[in-house]
Amino acid sequence: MTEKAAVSPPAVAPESQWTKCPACDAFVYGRRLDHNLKVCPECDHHFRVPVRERLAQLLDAESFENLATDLEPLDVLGFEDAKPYATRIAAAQDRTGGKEAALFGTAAIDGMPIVIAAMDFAFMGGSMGGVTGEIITQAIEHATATHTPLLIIAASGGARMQEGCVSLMQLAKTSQALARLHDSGVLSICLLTDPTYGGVTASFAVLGDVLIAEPNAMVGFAGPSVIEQTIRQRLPDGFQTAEFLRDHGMLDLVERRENLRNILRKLLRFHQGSAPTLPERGGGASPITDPSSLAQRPAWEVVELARDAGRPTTLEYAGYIFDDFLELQGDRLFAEDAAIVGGLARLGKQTLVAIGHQKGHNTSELVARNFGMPNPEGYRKALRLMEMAAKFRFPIITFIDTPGAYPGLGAEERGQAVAIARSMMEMSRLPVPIVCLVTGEGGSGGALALGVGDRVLMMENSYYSVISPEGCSTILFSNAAAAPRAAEALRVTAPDLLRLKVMDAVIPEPETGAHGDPVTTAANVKEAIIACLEELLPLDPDELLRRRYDRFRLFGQPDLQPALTAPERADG
Amino acid sequence: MGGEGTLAQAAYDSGDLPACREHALRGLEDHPDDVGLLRLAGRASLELAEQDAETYLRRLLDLEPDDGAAWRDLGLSRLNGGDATGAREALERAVELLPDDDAARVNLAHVAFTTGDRGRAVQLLEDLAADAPQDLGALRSLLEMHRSSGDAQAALEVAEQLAARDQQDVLAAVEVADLQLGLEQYEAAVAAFARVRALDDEPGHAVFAYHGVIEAEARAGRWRQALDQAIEATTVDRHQLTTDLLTTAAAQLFGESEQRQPPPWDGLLQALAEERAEHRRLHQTPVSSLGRER
Repeated sequence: MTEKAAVSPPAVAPESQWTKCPACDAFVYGRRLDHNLKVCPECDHHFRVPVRERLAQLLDAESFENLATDLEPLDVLGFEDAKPYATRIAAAQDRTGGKEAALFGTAAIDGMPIVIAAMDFAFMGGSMGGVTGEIITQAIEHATATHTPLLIIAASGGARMQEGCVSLMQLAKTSQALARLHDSGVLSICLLTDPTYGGVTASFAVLGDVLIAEPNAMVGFAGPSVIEQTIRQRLPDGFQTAEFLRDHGMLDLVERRENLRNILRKLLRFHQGSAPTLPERGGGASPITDPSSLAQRPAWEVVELARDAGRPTTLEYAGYIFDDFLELQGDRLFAEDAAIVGGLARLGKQTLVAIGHQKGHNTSELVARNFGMPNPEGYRKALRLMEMAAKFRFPIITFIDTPGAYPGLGAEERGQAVAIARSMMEMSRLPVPIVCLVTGEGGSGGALALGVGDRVLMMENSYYSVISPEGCSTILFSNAAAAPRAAEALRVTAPDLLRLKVMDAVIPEPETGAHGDPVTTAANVKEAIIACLEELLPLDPDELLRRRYDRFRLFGQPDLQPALTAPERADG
Repeated sequence: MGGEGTLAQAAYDSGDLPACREHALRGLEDHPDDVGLLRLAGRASLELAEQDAETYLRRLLDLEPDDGAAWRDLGLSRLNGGDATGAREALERAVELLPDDDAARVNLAHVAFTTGDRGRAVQLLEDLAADAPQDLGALRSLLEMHRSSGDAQAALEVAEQLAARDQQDVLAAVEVADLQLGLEQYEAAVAAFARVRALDDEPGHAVFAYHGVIEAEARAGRWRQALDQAIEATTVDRHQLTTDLLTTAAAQLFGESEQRQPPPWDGLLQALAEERAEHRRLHQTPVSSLGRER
């Protein structure tokens, strides 16, 4: 049984409804509040939205078809507290007009089909009973069977006590269904709305490919009062808000309500299955593979150019090169690391995942990005995004520009070395094309953690090194001032690395350097990316992985490893 | 009004506002001064939250300056746009012309309050509450306005009216208890929180009423009763606030000990106040929701 359900807001809203904003205490005119998508026009507080209204805000008009019309709560325990559970169910149904704390169905966003499951907090606090979990599971299974992207809108106080362990089992049931969805390569998006807690947060609400929440939405496992009362400490301001979760790596995006539909549309478009095509080549200079055609600059000059604060950053390259880019955040474990950025990008009609170290052009930007030195969570975020790319068969582009992984106490405690090692190992076996571009500093393992690809290229004025010239100078030359000599000895420049086969090609820079003409530089980078992808996309995954293995297997093999002649020292 | 006007009116009557607007606007192309078409265009545009609603309503009012409904709609249109001062001017004129128009009155009351004229707001809402005793929206707004203005005694009087009008109204019972506690009417507050406990059967809510009773007893200096209530409260809740209240009452009666270190009283009162606000929020609905008028 299905029914066509109108999800548009009622055409005629009450004219005389006023609401008091719980955040700023202002009286807000109801119609103005509705027009503002239930966001307080005075203080931007995002009010809770009834489920039908939420669907109307997000979905194409009249597109929602309810597939859960027959599903109602079951009183499997014959539970009774102050009132019988059955009475509470009836009251909730009467109050909300819904049959359960969730519904699911099919719909469209900008004409693109989607399976949607949405929870209704007004129905017994959005608590997850057996049938609530059943509705979510049916939605997931429907998305899996029809290979249609899934959107879950979560709003819940947690598991429904009145259904005991049957309620608890929904955590496992929904999670296992999502595992199958993931295995089938179908996109899942979770929108966490205020409030989402307990068993829902500890299951399907956080298992989507992309997790989005509205500003200040409260999301957590245990409620703040329970935590406060357990640890007997006052919790910090903003604890368990969406922003808190994002900063702790748990969310991809915190988005204002007015942007949500657009973000969903963007995500769906990235994942549309139409035949991907790359843009035509010819917009920039071709990458160089003959080392003798490259200018021979002193290594130290190249190091200084590579470190120039004006060089384009990863986000700037993304803006110049891609037709669309959506940054996704968080490692889902500990923190969002601003020293690495990544997200979905569009190059022509080809969706890809772009990841890179991120620096800045001035002190405050550099501090905010930790000077492009990632913590383990940065690499774990990168790996999460790369695994997402593999799931959806999107090629990966990495932009490498780091002095090195952050050498900090916390970084060591959280497994910096493990994060780098894991990143390299996983990159070696991701069954999608990977193109790595050293755009500035290629600082040792912190760079290589994003550098295990099918093609590795570097900008003409970038460098790549096992250690910073200063570090090498101090250790081997016992003199930090000998960094230029160390740079020369380490053979960190493009021509030498091309000869050593560490690099496959070099991307030319304008006469003035990348920072002098970022637009031309980006065009050259784009040209290189397209050239690489044209070669790599036709390869089947086994062949791709075999060649990638061989590419890195070469280094240090006596018969295969090219060697350089000793450099002439300027200082004699 | 002609053909388009008839179609617009029919669409409006059937609730098809986009069609109503379309027909009305089409009709206005040939008959720009048709007051019927202007009225429908204005009203439909208003309800669809279209920004040009004010244009049609102003044109209508140029032709019919004593059209109270048009003044009201103009006021509502300005409210949509966040123009409180302009809305108030229009709604004052609407109430002058249509003294019984509830929509104009309730909106004028709120906009008067938001523009700083609490006296006018209170007068309008009291009149509305008297005229429509079955409609609790005006009283709820009145209560919130008194509370926002710091007039707890006036707020309590309104809350008591609300509680009297609907004896099953949990929010009204909560309001009465909270306000009595704030006004140091501890005896009454204890009884009011007991009433809340009897009325509010939402899962997990019993603790709110217990805490209210304990606080009222404690602030009245009746620590023995506070302790008894705190012990009873542990049957429904064993989290920190309840145990803190228990510890505090025990320390008051039997003295502090190493095992019995009560938290600072001020901090405890603040946590209780926040919890009461949360309880109110859990039961809150839009403060005023009088029926619409066409």
